[in-house]
Amino acid sequence: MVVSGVTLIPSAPRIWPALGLLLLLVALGLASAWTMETQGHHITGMTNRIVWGLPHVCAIFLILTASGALNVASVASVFGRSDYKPLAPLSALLAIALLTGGLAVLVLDLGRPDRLLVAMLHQNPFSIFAWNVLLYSGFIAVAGVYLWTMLVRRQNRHTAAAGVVALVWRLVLTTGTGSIFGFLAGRAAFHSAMMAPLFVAASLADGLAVFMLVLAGLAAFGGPVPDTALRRRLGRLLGILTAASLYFALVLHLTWLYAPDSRAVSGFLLLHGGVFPVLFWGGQVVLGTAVPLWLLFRCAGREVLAASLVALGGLEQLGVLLIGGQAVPQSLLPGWELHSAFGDGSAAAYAPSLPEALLGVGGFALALLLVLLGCRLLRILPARLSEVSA
Amino acid sequence: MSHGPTRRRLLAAAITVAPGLLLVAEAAPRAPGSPVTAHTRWGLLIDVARCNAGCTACVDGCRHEQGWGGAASDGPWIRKIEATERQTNRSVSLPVMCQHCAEPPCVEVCPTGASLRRADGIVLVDRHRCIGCRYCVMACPFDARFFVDTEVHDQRPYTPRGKGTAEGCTLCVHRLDAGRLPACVEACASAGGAMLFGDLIDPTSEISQALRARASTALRAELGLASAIRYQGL
Amino acid sequence: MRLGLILIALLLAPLAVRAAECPAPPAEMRRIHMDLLAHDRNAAAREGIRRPGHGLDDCITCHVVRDAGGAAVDATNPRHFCTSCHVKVAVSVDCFSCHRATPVEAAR
Repeated sequence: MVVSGVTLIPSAPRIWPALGLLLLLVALGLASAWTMETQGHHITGMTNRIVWGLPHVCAIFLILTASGALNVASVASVFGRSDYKPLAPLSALLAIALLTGGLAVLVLDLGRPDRLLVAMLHQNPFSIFAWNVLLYSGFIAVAGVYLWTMLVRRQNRHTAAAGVVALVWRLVLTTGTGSIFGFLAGRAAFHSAMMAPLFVAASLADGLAVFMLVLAGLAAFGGPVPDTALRRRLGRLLGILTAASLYFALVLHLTWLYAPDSRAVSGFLLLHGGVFPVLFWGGQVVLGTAVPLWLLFRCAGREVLAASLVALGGLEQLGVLLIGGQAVPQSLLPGWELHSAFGDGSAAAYAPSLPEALLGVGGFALALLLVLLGCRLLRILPARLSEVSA
Repeated sequence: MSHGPTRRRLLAAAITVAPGLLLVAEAAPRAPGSPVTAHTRWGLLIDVARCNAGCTACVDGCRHEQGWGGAASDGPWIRKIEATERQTNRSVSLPVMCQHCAEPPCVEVCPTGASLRRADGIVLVDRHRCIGCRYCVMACPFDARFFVDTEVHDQRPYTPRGKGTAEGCTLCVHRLDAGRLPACVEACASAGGAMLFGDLIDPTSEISQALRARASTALRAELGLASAIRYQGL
Repeated sequence: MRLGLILIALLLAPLAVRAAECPAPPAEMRRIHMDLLAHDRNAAAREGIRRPGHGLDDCITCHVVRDAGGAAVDATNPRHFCTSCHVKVAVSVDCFSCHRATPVEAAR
């Protein structure tokens, strides 16, 4: 039952070039954030209509996948599946790394990131955003303790308890993240209790997909190679979670379609909203769900490809949800056709710029950098994964 | 909701000189050094029948007073919307700005408490606390909160504005605190006379009497935000 | 002698006026101006308490520094009243990211 992990060996091929590339991407992300702060956000594609853009899509994707990356650890220590146990430390490390990456992007996108201390000193107890700041920093602490109980042999007896806390915490965290949008009563494309379960389901699917990709990636740096049985098991779980994620999105749209006043929202996102229907049908439904499901349940050995598609579909889903949701014009006077110089009554346009894209990519790079460093410095990975399937 | 007349700081009634022409008296200034109280709630009644399509007097007045609009990306603190009812084809023109809700979503969502509602009902951004997260812009049901995305120079001394922070209509607090009317109301008085400003709590104020006498509504009334801006003739 | 005294008085007059108009004597202002500003800004922005002579615009109007052409210098200029000192003590001023740093008549 004791995890005896190893560190990635320093002579592992490609590890230094990979670290270098990731460092470069992080540096580019930081430089972009610096430019956005000094020049002002007018150099981005974000406007007063699309106030949250690509950085937020990336940040929220990273935060959701952080929560979902803990799936494997939870299955091991909460649901007692000992065959997943050797992978549990990686699961926790990845969770911490992804959340750090997401949080960094969120903070660096602020108009005044220099005032972060203000956000620490003054917190509005009614703000979902303030709750989430606590949930996110708490998550890093909880996952950190969880990882510690797994890595330090004497603390292994606390792993199960820490695992339960982490499981509850991450469900609350994704509920909180979904509620950032779901609680916005004034926004027809966001206001829904469905947002919380939708975000939970998306986090479970996307997080597992990212975990599988990272595990496959680490094999290139001397990490263990998962065997067929393990890959198939993870793949089946991924298939179920991906289908569940789409299910919530479909129920949400059916609810909107049924009522005349919200029909315009679904009409926009599913039919005539320009790029958003393409991203929804092509991205989330076909490439992000249908194809991976077919790969996972009909073709053997295509788990990594399927996981890539699920992750990509998850990113596209958030793009449609966040940016598409803002692009839908607010209905200030229901039943009236509106026109104004500000664009009332018509869809808002959004074209992301290079700096905001680099900031988002920088968040991913930071997360992967932390994973690589963690695997290099801590005994995160099992020596062999053959024991996993035993 | 009744308060002693001595506690009431009321906007002297708008005096109807001739039909269609409103002369608006100034609000009584508050004693220097005293805080605003909940004995006053400033509000506006906008008569869309008197608001002319194409007239932007209120917008121009606001822009000149508050100093926004220098950058193309500046959000319009007040904007004119032309609206046509789908079923009837009836067209109206109306100004939309911060509706100074009694229960403002921007204040609820603000993580640092920078979005605030003053005791007299005016919804403001305390830029000293704003970190530029834009959640208030997301939450506003009227698209009336904005984010400054360029460097600002030569601000009005009474209206600080700055890159990286949120902003919106202040109902001209600096004028109200000095006993004057908001700039849009003043500009409208000599254009269409569609705006009636005053204290919603004082039952004797012109606006309270008008609201009792005539049918009016709030934008997106279904949200239950109890806006201080009311519209007549929609 | 008398002329010298008058000259000195004339030279010191602006300082005297300035000291009289500041909320506290210069030595104290140097120590507590940030607390006064922080306190009054919260009171003004959040509760509408405006104390005459305590606003930042009062400070910058009175302490204006003009260049050779008579134009008020901005906070980016090292001669600006606030900047001259803050550069020396290496404390950044956040005020002028939103507030104007010059009296309004200079800009119009």
